Amino acid sequence: MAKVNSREELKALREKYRDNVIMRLVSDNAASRVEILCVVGKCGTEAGARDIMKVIFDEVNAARLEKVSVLVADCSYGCDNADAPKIDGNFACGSDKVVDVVFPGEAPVRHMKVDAAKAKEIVRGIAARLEGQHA
Amino acid sequence: MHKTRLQILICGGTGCISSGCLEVEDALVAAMEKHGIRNEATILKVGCFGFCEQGPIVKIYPDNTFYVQVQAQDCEELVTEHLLKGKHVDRLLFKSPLTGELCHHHMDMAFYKTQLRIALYHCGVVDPENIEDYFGVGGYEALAICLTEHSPEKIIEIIKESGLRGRGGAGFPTGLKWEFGLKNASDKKYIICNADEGDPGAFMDRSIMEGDPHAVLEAMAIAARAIGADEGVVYIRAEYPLAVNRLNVAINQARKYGMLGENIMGSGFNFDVHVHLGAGAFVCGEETALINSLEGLRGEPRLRPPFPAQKGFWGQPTVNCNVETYACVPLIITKGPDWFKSVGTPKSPGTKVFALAGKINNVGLIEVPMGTTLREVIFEIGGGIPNGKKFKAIQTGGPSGGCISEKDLDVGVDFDTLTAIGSMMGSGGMIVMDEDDCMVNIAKFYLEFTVEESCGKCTPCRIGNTRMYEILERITKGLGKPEDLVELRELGQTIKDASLCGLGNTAPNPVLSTLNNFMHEYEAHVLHGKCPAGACKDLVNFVITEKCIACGLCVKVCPVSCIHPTGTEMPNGKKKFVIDQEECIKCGACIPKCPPKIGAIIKE
Ligand SMILES: Cc1cc2nc3c(=O)[nH]c(=O)nc-3n(C[C@H](O)[C@H](O)[C@H](O)COP(=O)(O)O)c2cc1C
Repeated sequence: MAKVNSREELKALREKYRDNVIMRLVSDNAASRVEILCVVGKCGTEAGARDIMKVIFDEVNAARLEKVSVLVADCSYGCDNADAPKIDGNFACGSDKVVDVVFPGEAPVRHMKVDAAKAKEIVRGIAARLEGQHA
Repeated sequence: MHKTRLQILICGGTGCISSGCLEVEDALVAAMEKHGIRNEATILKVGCFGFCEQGPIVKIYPDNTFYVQVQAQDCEELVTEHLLKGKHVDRLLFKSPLTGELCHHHMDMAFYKTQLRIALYHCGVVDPENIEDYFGVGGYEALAICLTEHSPEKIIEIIKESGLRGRGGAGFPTGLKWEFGLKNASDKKYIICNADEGDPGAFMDRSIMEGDPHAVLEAMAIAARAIGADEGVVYIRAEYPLAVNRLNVAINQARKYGMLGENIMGSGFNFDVHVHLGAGAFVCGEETALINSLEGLRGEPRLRPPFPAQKGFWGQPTVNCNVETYACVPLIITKGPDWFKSVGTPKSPGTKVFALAGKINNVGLIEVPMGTTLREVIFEIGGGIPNGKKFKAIQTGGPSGGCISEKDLDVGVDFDTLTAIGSMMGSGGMIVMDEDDCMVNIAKFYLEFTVEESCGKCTPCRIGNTRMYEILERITKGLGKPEDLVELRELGQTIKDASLCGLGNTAPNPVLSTLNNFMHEYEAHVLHGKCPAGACKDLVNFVITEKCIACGLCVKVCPVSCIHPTGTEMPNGKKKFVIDQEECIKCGACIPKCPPKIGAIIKE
């Protein structure tokens, strides 16, 4: 590592390493946190929900969405629950990956059958909305 | 650092290490590997979260969950429930003792609600062994500002304006001290960081160095820039190996990045720091004794004046400040003196870190705005007195602070109020006592420490305190005379007035303050030969009353076998037990063994 030779170079270091710590700095402020909940029940996981979660996380990371947390949630239906919602005759969680997006103070918005392309779309949607709030 | 979805912070302070945090780290890693999700989380060992009573503490981001008393065997469940399924492990959450509610986040806890961290700002947030984390939170920005925007005079003006006062005990205005350092011209000047932390109950300085060492280094560099010094020393006791290690790691990293050394950030300013290990004598925390010790002399205080800012280390102008004082400096520069002044009281701005210990539920390290009342500290943050006992006193300021009674609990603590009620801020140690503590015995206990630690250079401290100690010993043995109480006061006042350094000037405080606040306890000892708290062994007898049912539980635990079945005969033919007063060593082991319903054993 080279020595820092000016205040600008220090600033560049701060920018570079901000990513390391930002999660710890903003998490305390739950009121402004957007949560992406990836449902990882038994069948969701078997269908690859954790891989989709990684896609989502990489997207969030690439877009530097500091206020967005990627979390997992256990299956809220339970496959043995006959009342659980179904898609094309299959239980929603089992049919494919389920992702909930929760803006602070709002009801969760549910996305079903999330594949990699849809995952990216979801993150882009959040980014656009956050951008709009900023403006 | 590879970015991960989760960051798991484990408290890696000395306290949590002794309660097993390293094993927790290993177990977490193993469990994550087992379940194939090692790459989903980064594990970091950070500085003290303060709630030592509940350690080891594990905090999980981004959902910000605060787990307490986590043991290695809990890690499998943490991984399968929290990390794999996003479910909280309720049994590892803190349960509010008042409401019984589970606290998911630290701000839900009474312990944290009223705390405000300035000196500990980044402690528990940054990885202390990684300067990159410190850069990420804006570290060394304050130094950059001081090197590029501010003249030395301007830096001093800002510190003066902030009203920052020394956290090492005396509360001397820091900006003024730096100004003396600047004005005493010399081609060689020194910066010292006093990290001796001689108060046995205090550990805020250690926690700052273990949790955020770069803040201290940055502030030392700022002080050096302000007075024109190019060399700094951290004087730290060798009993703090983790802090020493983290400081050394931090110094090396800072040098590599050019935050210490020559031509810092291309400004032409040179400053470097090294660590000096002290042998752990209390008096070496006194700044002139500290300087003697640094120079290889005996740790004895020097006459002041000349003050260190005039003639300090190697006879050169030297500014010495305490760790916590330094830790406040970078934020004062970046956030401004008005921000600092908006916290605390007009004469003592900012916060103070206190180490809560003794008969209190939430033992730990807390930082609160100056002016917070003792009642809030003890009963809200501290969670009150354990086992339903009654509060008796709180001793502040370390071994030579005073004991404060119930009547002063609504005083808002700052440098001046504590002095006004016969105690002092000192290092920020706070020890709580309950109804079972005898205040005469407590005063003797503290005096024993200062007698032991007196360097012996001046007579009032060396001999005076010893005489006071002998009198207290007599009183606690039931051999005190009424004149002793007068003599204690006179001796105490003389020692305070005539001693050379702060050790002697303050050593009689525990005695004088207990004479003022708990005279009735002294009188009970001297006039009636009784210890009301039942703590002075020579003045109490353990006695088995007629309530005894001869169950024999007490007999089993008596280490000297002095309980014999020689009492009244009961209808079933058994005889009640009796304690042989000649043989009894008054250890008290029998009392808790007697079933509470029976309660036959009493102290009298
Ligand atoms: C007996 C004695 C012990 C002391 N121990 C310490 C100590 O451990 N740490 C400390 O910072 N100051 C200690 N001091 C106070 C120092 O002499 C000095 O006032 C202080 O380090 C100055 O820094 P500050 O202005 O930032 O408080 C002690 C003073 C006395 C009389």
